[in-house]
Amino acid sequence: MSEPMIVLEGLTKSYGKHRGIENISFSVNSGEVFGFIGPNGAGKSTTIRTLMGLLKPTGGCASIFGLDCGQYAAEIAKDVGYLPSENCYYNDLKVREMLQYTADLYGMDCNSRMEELAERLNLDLSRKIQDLSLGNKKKVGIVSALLPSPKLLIMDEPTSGLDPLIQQTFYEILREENKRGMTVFLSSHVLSEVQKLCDRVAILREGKLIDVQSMEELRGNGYKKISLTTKEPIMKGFFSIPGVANLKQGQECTSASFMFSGNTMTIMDKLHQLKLEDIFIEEPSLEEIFLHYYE
Amino acid sequence: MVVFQYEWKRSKKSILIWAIVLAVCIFFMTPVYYGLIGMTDSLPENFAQGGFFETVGVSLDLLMKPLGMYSFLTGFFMIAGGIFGMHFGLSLHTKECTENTSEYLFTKPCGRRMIYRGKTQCLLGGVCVVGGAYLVASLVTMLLFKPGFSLGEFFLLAISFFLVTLFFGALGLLLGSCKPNNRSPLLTAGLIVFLEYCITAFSRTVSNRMIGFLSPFSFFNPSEIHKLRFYEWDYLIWYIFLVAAFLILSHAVLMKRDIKFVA
Repeated sequence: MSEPMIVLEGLTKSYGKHRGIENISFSVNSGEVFGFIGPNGAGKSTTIRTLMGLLKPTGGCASIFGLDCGQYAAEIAKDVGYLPSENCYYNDLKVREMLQYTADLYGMDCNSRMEELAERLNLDLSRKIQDLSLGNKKKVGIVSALLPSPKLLIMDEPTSGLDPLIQQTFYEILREENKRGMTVFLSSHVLSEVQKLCDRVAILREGKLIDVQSMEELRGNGYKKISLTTKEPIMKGFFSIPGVANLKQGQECTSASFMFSGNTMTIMDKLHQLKLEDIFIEEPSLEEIFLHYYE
Repeated sequence: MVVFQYEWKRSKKSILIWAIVLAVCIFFMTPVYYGLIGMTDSLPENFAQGGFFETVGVSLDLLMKPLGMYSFLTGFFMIAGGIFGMHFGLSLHTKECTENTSEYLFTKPCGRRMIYRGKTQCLLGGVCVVGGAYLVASLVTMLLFKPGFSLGEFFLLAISFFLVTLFFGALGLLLGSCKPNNRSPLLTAGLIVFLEYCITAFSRTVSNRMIGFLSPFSFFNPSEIHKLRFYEWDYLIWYIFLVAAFLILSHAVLMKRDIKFVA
């Protein structure tokens, strides 16, 4: 994990009045599994489409393998597998023909790999694309992206529409490919997915990059989730101290939950002043950390 | 070549249907219309002398000759050919956008240039098949029912069908590149071709050649072909310029534009 495989420098894409992405900068290292998270409309797909050369940036630049994404899109694509968020393929073709088209476009003979991936993902190669369910179309996309054994795999919402069993198989395949040296860049709004797979994550909100953190940093940034109940009501403003966030108090003021980041002794002293009935101190889920970024 | 092969595979059926239908229609309609030759005296005076046939580019004198009725019919078949060409050229681009397959195709190593080349080759192939079928069917029906015509003049007339189809195909490619999210390519093609036909009819009615430069139907006037034994040079040069411009512009637009997505 050393040299950057994807580099974005001040990448901006605007659609006139509509917001696109603004000044996005980060890099993805070789061999890394990099997550790109944000709610719907945050600009994840716009960033990925700009990386794939589908959209021309209005500012900044993006490069893959050191080549400009807009100028050398075809050159870059030789070593990139791409899974779009839309599961749309040529309806009049059969799955095998569709995947053969992918192999032909890469100029490769991928028959054995096609059979192997189709078997693992339980995909029927003899059916017509138009007869497939959403989940099966997603499988076609996954096989198509993995078929040429690319150096870099870019996926936009890869598991939407997949059933949990196939999701597990998909995660296994990704881990295996990553062990073999494939770099993975995936966008998702399913945080558990990112949590399972990624080494680092970029957080996007309203077209702007909020932060890039490793999963360890994200989890270990000192936030603890504290939930407590007391025998006596908690005074208003009792938890108004630095480091407390997302404070929620019960109607009778005998329960509270909040996130805390800071000196442990400070919060312990505070808690000591209360007549505690019960207390839970736990690591927050990624969802809760993530929500915190949006507030 | 890969893009062309798959485009061809996907378009083959519709190309063949157009080719067969047009070939069968010209084969059967030509002898039917020959029945009208010699009946021009019985045509209503206003119809015969009101310039109707001139708007189609066929004088009454020419209509009486073996190739006259064929060129009269070809004038109408050109509308069908134009609609086929324009719809085909348009949909080669628009279907990628409206069916959301552009995100698949445009992220493959072939690149935009090869995609353009494959689609343009497919258009040319389609136009050749339809134009070829029309030419062969026309030749057979003429030889069977009205032999003894000038073969050179016949080919000029039959090829003008191919050239008009190609013109609208190239225009379709350009419009498809510029506005790929067009969900009604057939309606667009029909309206544009009809408009162009009206422009030609108008230019012939008011006898203004300059207006004719706006429509490909004017470039291949059967009466002028009969007189000159070739196409009119100024129109031909303008035709070549326009077709080349459409192809170059559609390539330039495709290379530069954002790929559009339909939600």
